[in-house]
Amino acid sequence: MSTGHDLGVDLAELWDAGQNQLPKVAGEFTKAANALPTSITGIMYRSGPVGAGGSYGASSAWESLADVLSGHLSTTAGNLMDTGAALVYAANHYAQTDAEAQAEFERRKREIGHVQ
Amino acid sequence: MSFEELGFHAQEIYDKAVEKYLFDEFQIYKQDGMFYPPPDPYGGASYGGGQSSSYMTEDQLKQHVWDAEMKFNEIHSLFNDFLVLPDPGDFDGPMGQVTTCMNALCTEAFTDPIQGDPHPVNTELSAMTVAGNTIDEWDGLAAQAFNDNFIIPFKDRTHNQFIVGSILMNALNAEKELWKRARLNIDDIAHKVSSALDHYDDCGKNDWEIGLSVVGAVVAIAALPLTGGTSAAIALGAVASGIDVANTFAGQIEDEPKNDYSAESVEGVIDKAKQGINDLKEAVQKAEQKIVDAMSNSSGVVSSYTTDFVAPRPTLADQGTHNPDVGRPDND
Repeated sequence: MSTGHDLGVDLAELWDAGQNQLPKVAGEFTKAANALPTSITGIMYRSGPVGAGGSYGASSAWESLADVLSGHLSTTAGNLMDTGAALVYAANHYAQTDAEAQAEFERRKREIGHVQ
Repeated sequence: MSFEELGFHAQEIYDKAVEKYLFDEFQIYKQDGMFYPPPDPYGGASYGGGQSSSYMTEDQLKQHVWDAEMKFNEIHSLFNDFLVLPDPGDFDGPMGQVTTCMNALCTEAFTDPIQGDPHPVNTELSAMTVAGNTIDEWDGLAAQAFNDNFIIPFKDRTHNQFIVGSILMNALNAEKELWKRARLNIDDIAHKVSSALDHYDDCGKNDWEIGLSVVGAVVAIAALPLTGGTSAAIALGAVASGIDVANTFAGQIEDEPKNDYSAESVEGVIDKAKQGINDLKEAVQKAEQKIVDAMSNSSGVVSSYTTDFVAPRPTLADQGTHNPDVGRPDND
């Protein structure tokens, strides 16, 4: 088990995972969810009984599936953000138990901040 | 003719049907937009000249015209059902949006399983590998659970989400092709009915053919397999556009039926027009039902097998400021 300087390095990596890496992935899932159209009824209208499912055809069935996918993407993004926050808290909290580790941790956090 | 002129052509068919029917049945003829009774073969002067020499009274003429107009009035409603249809061009925007969604989910270069198009890797998602390598070094139960339940199955789940995106995108593409062909088919019917009205009284057989290309517009894909874990045993319903379908599913494209129609009278031509339009309506209904069925099937499967598409909420995510159980780093 690492202590001192090595522990500081490990904590900085944990902090980076929570502060930067997981939110970056979460951002892609948010982007995916936001890109999905929530409604297609506007492009599906027909004036008469032509096609399946009434005046808007397959809109409702399509939107139901899109809604399920959008929900899963948003949930994934939220879970990643919340897990990231927990990792950041854990790293910060843990660092307080070891002065040498904390010094290295803080130095690396600053360094990571610069190279991001 | 074009689809945009369908209303005009419906009126043209109606006018032609009324005019030719009145002439065939009563020798009533049309000149400069007005109907005139048949001239008396012994009278000489025309009705339109102000002196009626026809055996048909003006009231009789009006009644015949009225009856004929009522008889063929349904021509308008037959075509009215098709006057406003979805515009194929309107699907491009939403298809682009869904493609953006799919591209965001590419943990590696994925291939669309339905149409075979390549999607580039989203390099931003490599951050998950970085985070995974870090968390794997921590021995806390919550950290290990996150690694086992979230990070390791991450690529398979994300690929399954990509497949759902593909199902949505290809459904839009199939709708686009369906309406493109429905517009061509109704326009073709209008064109051929108009021509049949011009020629039913010619010598020889008056027949015409309507190809219902809408039949092949939507390709039903009964079982689209997923990947990884329990999802290896699951399949989703999907559809493809008849022109953008992967070779794997090309054999499932239905052949375009060619329906033959024949008539030797105005009423016969209009009856066949009605039959042709009903044939087209039935084909469009069946084609779009494939899309409804595929979406409903996929929604059901995705809802029933939730964990194949989204990870259960990690314990860590709920620990936040409550002493997250990351354990200690294991630097073996």
